[in-house]
Amino acid sequence: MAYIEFKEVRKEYGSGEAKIKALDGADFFVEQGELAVILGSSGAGKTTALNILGGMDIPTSGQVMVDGVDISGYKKRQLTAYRRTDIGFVFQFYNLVPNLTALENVELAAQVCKDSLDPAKTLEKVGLKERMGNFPSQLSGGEQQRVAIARALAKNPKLLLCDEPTGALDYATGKQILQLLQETCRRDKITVILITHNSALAPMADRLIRFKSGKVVEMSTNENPTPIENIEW
Amino acid sequence: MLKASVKDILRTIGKEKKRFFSIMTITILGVTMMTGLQAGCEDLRLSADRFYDEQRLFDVSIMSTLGLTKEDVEVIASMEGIELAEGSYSEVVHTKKGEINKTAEIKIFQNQGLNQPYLVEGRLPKGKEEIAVTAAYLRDTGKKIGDWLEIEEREKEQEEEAEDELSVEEEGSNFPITRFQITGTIIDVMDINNADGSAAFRATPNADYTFFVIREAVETEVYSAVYASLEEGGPLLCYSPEYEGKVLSVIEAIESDIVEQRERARYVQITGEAYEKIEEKEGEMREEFTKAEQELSDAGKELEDGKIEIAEGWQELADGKKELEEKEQEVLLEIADAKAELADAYEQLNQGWVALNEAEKQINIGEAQLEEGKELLRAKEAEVRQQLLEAEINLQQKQQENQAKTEQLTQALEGIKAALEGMGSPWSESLETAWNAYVEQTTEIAAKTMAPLMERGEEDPARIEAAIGEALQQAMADPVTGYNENLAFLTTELTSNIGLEQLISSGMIPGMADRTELLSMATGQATCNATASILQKAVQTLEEQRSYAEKEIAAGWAKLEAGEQDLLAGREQLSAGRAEVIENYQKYQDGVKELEENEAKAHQEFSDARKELLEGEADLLEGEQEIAEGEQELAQHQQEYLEKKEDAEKKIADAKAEVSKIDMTKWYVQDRSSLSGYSNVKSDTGAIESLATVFAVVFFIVAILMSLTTVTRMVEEERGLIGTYKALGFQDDEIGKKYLTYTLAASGIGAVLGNVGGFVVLPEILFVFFRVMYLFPEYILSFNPLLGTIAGALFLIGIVGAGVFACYHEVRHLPAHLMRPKAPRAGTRVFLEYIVPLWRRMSFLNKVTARNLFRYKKRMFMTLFGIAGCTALLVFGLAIKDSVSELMPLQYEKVYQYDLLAVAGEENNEKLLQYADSSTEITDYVNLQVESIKIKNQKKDTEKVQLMIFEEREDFLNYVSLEDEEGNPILSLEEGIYVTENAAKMLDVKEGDGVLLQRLDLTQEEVRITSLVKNYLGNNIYMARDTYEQLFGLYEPNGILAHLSSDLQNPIGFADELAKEDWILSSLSTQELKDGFSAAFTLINLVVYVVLILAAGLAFVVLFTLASINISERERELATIKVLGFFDREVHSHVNKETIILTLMGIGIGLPLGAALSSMLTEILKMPSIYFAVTIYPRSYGICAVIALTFALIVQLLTNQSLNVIDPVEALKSVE
Repeated sequence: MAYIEFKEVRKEYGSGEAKIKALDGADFFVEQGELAVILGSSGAGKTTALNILGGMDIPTSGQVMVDGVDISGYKKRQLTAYRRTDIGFVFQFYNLVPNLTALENVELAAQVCKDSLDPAKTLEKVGLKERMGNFPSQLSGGEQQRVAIARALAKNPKLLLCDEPTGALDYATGKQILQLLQETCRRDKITVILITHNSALAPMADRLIRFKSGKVVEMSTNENPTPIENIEW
Repeated sequence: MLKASVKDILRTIGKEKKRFFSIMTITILGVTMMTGLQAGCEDLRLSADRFYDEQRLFDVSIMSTLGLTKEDVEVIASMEGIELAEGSYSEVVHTKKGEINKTAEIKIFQNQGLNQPYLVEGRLPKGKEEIAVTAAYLRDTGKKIGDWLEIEEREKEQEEEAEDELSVEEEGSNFPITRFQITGTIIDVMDINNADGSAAFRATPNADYTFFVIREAVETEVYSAVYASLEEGGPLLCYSPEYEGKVLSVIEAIESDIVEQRERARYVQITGEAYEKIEEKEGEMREEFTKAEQELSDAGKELEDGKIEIAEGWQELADGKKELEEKEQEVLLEIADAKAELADAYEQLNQGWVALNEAEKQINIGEAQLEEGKELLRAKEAEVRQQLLEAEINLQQKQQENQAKTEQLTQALEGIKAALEGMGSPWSESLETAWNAYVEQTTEIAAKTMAPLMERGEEDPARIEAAIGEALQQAMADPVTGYNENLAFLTTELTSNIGLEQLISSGMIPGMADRTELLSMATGQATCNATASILQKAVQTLEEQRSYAEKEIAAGWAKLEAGEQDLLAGREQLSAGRAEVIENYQKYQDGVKELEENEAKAHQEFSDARKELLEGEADLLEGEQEIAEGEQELAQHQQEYLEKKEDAEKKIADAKAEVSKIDMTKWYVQDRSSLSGYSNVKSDTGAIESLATVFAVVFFIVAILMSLTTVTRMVEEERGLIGTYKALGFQDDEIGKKYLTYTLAASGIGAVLGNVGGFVVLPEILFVFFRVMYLFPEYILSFNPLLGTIAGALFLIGIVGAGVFACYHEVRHLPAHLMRPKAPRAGTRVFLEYIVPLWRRMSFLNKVTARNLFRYKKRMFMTLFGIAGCTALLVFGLAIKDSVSELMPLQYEKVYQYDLLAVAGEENNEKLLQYADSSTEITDYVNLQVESIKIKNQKKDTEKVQLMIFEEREDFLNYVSLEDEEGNPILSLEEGIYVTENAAKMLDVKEGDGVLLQRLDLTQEEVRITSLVKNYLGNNIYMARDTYEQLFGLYEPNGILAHLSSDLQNPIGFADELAKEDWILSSLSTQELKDGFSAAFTLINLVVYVVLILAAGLAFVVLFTLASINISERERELATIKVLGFFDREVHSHVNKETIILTLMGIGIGLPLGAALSSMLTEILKMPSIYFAVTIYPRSYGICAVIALTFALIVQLLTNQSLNVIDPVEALKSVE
């Protein structure tokens, strides 16, 4: 069985006439240690899928298996605990706590789970050793996103979920961030799922999942993913 | 169709409901607070004015030391500016409430006149015997309309003893009728203090109750007061400066134009009348003295007659006594004889009884013996029968055995005979004969041998056989017997029978070896025969024995029967004897009873006779006593007559002298403030209004700050939207309109509702309290447009201004700047971080909290200020409450150290002192003069106070503790007066100033204040005797201050008991004052509760607003930590920790702030008769802190809900 599995997952918002099907029977799976890229245009359901996978939302129907456990029926508290220990999130807009330094932002995440990594070392890993004491407002966007990644990694999660992590960054910086994610995946054997609407990023993935209208229209594996520096868009 | 921008405004209001309501609520609370208390007070004054106008309360009152006349009234009525002048009469009389003396002021009322009593129930009096009373009287006495009440004239006692005393003043009652029927209950417009309220402390009322009767019920030509109303008084509001100015000008006119002239006129009239009266009395006196002399001589004659009568009586009595003694002697002798006879009879009866008892005892013994004999006989009988039976059985058994043996032998022999027959050698005739002969012989021998053996009881067959054998041997040896021959014959015969031989030898006969055996068989047969005969004999003997025994037993029974018969006869005789004795005893008893009855009767007769004699004697003695008394009385009367005559003559001389001493008339012209109810309303409203101002200011500041924060936050949140509008080309003012409308709507609605709260709701609540204090029949709501508008406008301007300012602050930026996300407020290092050791020890989340606190500085200060303000208000409110409850111990334990103040009136002072000396409950006391007095300053402001005059300068020590303003104890009363602080404050006078003292009889003198003294409730003036005498003349002590024994359980009961004495005017224990105290402060306490609730409401709104702003500002941050996997509880504590810390800090600031605010209370609450010393109990601080903290916690519960609904997915979707 695959490490992560989506089986016939549906998600509906609203009711009656105004019912919107964000996911309409999505099926896919991801193996452990893979870097999966989910592609799709706006409204294709990819963010909904990621939210469900990240324990921030629950599906209307279907099964979501993570490491052999079905999380689709989790209650609120179980979901929180799941987020706490198993998931690392990286957002488009970083979402750092402005009132905490880079190090403290990482500590914030590290302190809530048991097998956390050393926050300082994690920051060092993402190349921010020198800027640990700075507040987010004193950091550039790329640096802030690195802090966000460090914050996600410090929890030593089973899954690293990234929602358009380069969306707010310029080309070069975005590339560096993607490289960091790819390296992290290779080096630490962490399963990474990355959402983007940029099809050009497809070659970097071990597994490519394409969403359209709430369904998975394509799922393919890539034996030899292209290193990020070789991708241009 | 609405413009899109208008729609946006409406939707914003819809969406931002919470914020809208919070601004609205703050405005409501603030406006209510600013207007409500003031409006309530205005309403009270208005209600008072309406009531006064409707009941036509006077505007000016005039009183005179010598009363007022019809002419006075006419002159006053003719004055310019006077609408109506009316003479009135009132008098304080006594009435009873149960046993206790109470005072009542009787007033007259005139239809269409001034000072109309307000009718509550029933109707006003129409006839002379009808009266209207206050509700308090009915409640206290339990009487109903239709019941009767009686009054007692106050000066009655004096009048009685001084029947012919001449008086120049209008002393005594002018009420010819003292019994009235109650027709209705009324409210006296001149006394609208509710008796349950604070009246006790503010001004001692003249009387406990007020009664109204019609003019005709009073017989007087002189008025006690003239009341007048002003021509333009009605439309003006009382308490207003215009009204007071008008009244003052009229008073001044009266004083300057007519007072002097009228005073002189009255003086002349009074003195003239007095001289006339004196002459009249002199004539009356002479007439009466003549009459008295005649009466005295009549009495002397009557006494002589009485003496003769008594001497006759004594003689009669002596005769009666002698007769009685003789008769008594005789009867006693008779009785003694009868008694002796009876005693003999009794002795005989006793002896007979003893004999009978003895006989019975004998019979009893005989019966017992008989019974014993029967028992013995029965036993014997049984025994004998048993023995006989046993012997019989034994014999029968033996006979049977023997029979059996015989049969056995016979059979055996028969068997042998049969066998022989068969063999052909039959048992021959001869053999038979020989056999029988042998058997016969042997039987004889055996019988002889056996008889003695059997007689000895030998039973063993072997031995018997042996004995028989032996006897047979002897018989063989003795030829005389012929036994041998028989034996030989048999043997021969036997031998001759061949068959037999054969038979034996063949062994066909069992157990038979040879022929001898056959012989022994014969022997056996013989033995059996012998035995049978012996046994037969024994049976015979036994029968004989039996019949003998039966005979013996029957004889025994016969003998016993005879004995029993004898005993029965004896018993019959005995009971006959007893019956006789009893009958005789009954006779004896009857004799005794008869005798006793006779004796008793005799004694009764004698004692009756004796009593009669004694009574006669007593009567005589009494008569003698009476005569002696009569003589004494007569002497006394003569003495009295002489004294009285002298006295009366002297009195007439005195009266004449007194008239010449009468002081010049003095008029007092006053306005309504002489009524305590009128001035109480003024001071109550003043106090509440002062409190209202303090509260309103704090409220306003807090409310404005809150609104500012809220509005600013709202504008900031819509920053992007503002940018969008700008980018779309809207003008700045068009954009601003939205916020203007929003804030205007919120604060506008709030202002309107606040006005409703302030002019309707809060006054209505206050009315509830006013009803406890005052007797106004109705309370009127009023609206003060100016106040309402100003209060509303202040909030409108403050809040809308804040909105506009915040909006302008944003709008001035370029659209691009606005549309870019506003950089989240930068994190900064807080000073705590520089205290490295401390910072390091703090937990991570605490560090976050610390940073957050300082990041949002504005909000931090808002919260601090809001909570501090509300806490301060709470402390302020509770300070009032605490101070009120502390006043009581301060006054009644610290200042008043006495337990009882009793006043008796100067004429009963001696009686009071005697009572105090003899009472065990009173441990010690001091005698003094107590008086109700008015103190006035130069501006004629008046305070009614209690004056205490001590004989010696140090007398007050131990009873009243006096301290000057600095707290130095005063140990001796110097010359001048000592005035309590509050009175001085109300009159605005101080140490060294001169003041006027006016007594109840309206005489007044000026005096210097020696020192002010501390006092908390009520007002007193203290002075020593010499000062008083310099001022008013004669010092007449009339009361005592006393300490009661500490064993006394119920000092109130003791004081009440004392008050029941006729000669006691008042008796009040300090304990009762203490108990009645709490009621006095009802109003202020209740207002405090209202204020506390409003303050608590404000605290709640403040906390809630700030908490929601806190959340909305940090929604993104909170969403982030939720995504990171913080549990709800952790998210709550992340936010709440800040709130709690801020709340605690706010409380920390608020408590001292409140204490500071409270210290102003003494000045703010400047009420007559109450010196408001501020006290705050430590626990009140605790209560305030707990209330504030509780609100913080409740608000947290609410915000926790808001925190729970933050959806991280939504929050993180886009940039703010």
